[in-house]
Amino acid sequence: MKYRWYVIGAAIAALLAAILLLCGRWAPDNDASRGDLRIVSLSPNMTEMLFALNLQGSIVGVSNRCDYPPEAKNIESVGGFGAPSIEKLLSLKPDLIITADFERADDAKILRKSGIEVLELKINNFQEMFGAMREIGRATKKLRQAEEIITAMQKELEAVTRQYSGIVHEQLPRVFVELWYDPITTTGATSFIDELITRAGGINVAGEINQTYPHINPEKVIEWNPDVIVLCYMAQESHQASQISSRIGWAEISAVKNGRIIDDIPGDCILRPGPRLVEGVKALAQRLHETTTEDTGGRHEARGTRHE
Amino acid sequence: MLLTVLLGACMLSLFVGAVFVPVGEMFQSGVIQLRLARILLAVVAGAGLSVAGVVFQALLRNPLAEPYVLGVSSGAGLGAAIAIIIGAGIMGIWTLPTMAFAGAVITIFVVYSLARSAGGAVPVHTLLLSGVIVSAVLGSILMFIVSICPSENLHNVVWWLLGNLQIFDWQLLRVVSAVVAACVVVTVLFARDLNVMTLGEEPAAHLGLNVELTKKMFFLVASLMTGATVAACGLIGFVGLIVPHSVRLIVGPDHRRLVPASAMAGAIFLVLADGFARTVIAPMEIPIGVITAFLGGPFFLFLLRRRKRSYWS
Repeated sequence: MKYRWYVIGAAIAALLAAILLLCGRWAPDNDASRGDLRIVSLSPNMTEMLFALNLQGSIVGVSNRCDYPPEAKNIESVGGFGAPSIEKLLSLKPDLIITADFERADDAKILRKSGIEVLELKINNFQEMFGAMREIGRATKKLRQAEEIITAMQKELEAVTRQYSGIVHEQLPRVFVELWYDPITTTGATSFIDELITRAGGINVAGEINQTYPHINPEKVIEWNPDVIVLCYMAQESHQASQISSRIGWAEISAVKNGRIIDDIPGDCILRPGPRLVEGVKALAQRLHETTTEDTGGRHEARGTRHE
Repeated sequence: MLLTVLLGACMLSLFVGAVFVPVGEMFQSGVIQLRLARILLAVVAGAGLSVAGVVFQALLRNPLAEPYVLGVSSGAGLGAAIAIIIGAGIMGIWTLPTMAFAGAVITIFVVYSLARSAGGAVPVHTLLLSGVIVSAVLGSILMFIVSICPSENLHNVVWWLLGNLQIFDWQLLRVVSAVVAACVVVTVLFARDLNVMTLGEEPAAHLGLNVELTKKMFFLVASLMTGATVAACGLIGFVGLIVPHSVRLIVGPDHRRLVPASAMAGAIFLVLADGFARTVIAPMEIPIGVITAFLGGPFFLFLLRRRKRSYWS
């Protein structure tokens, strides 16, 4: 009687082992016909850059966060943002891996050792975004196209500055970007979002903080008294625009009083340092300067004395 | 006496913060309203967590028991994560607190029914064990969701778990205060039964106490308190552990004094700790849980060393 269970157990174990072995066997040898270069992108912004360079045919793997353009979702996923399954990655036999960084620092070493070119491109401002574009262009022999795209983006950004060129710096709208509500998280001086606000013709109220994504005491937001609040949570569904105005003590903030709470700019255009950042700048600039800035005058009289 | 200290602490922390407010503008300032709400929540949460700690320590007769010992923390964390995934759509800002509260209460219920033996009695050690195991399982489910779910917002659960006393809604504050106040009052009224319970279940039964009923009532009360505070401000560790012990070292083990004194002391401690958390690196903030552990740990050790004889018997 007892032996029967051992036999059944052994049979199940053998079956499982066989299935596992087969799965491992089948994964690697899929089509090699996608062009000579085999690229894996481990971060969404890099995937967008590759698509912008018309390299989608060469991408053999992406991270599970790569969701734009929609076609990116059809490409095989090799794991999380900067945290690939090394086994899966190697099975795709890539020549080039592009990522913002790796969650495990050793990954890059391991991959380089197996003869794969690894580009780690951290982006903290627009210049580095252009630089990353150029770097990818160089590694994929598309430098000329990369330069063209960069020039086009710079032109668009310049065009945006014309929208607010007539306004003196002190009169520009003061903007508070809220990235999360519990705890309240914003964007400090060292984030590319700070530059995005500047390029859109606004002043980042949290620009005085020398950090990338500081958690902020909500009292400070009341004191900053921003003219515009931008809600930019990483997932659209969590937006709470209507709740901002009902927060205790926030009713007296200029942006709340004047109803200037922006929550409809696609988060990825602001949070993702890729080609769509330009769209983010354009959208924000348009919203910042769609009305005349008459309401900014009163604030300086009322609260200006306390800023030094 | 403690009440005076509490009032003093509240006044003091009303004046400090990220932003300086001149006394003249005090009464119409939004900053002060915001700060007041926060201090009130600190009072409520501090009192609630400390009293819950007292109750759990007495019921489980275990000095290491604290409000989160039966898995409330991971249950609430899981609830919060689910709230973040489904988004704020259904109940607005109430989604997260409600889900966290539901998670906490459901967890306690599951732990309780797991520990229940055939006769309907709930042995204390079984309860502790099932609490620890359920907590571990739920914690792993939470980490699983965080690691596979593509929503980056979910990473904020980690911050939520560290606790934050900022509150933006008077209504939520009222509800939480009412729940905690009611539970504290009940605990104070039945403090004598807690004294009897610490003797052990058999002696308590011999003394004429309905042990199972008392246990049930206190579990319900302590869980409600913990669940309500967790819903409003996430997980704030250490308060429920060190405050009851510290107070016990000073006023002695009689629950008729221990319970109200712990409520006061917990409130004072959390108000001061939060004042510290929001001023030290203002306008940025330190997670409150970091402060409670950092300040509370050494203070408790100091009390423990000062007292020569073994204190938990």
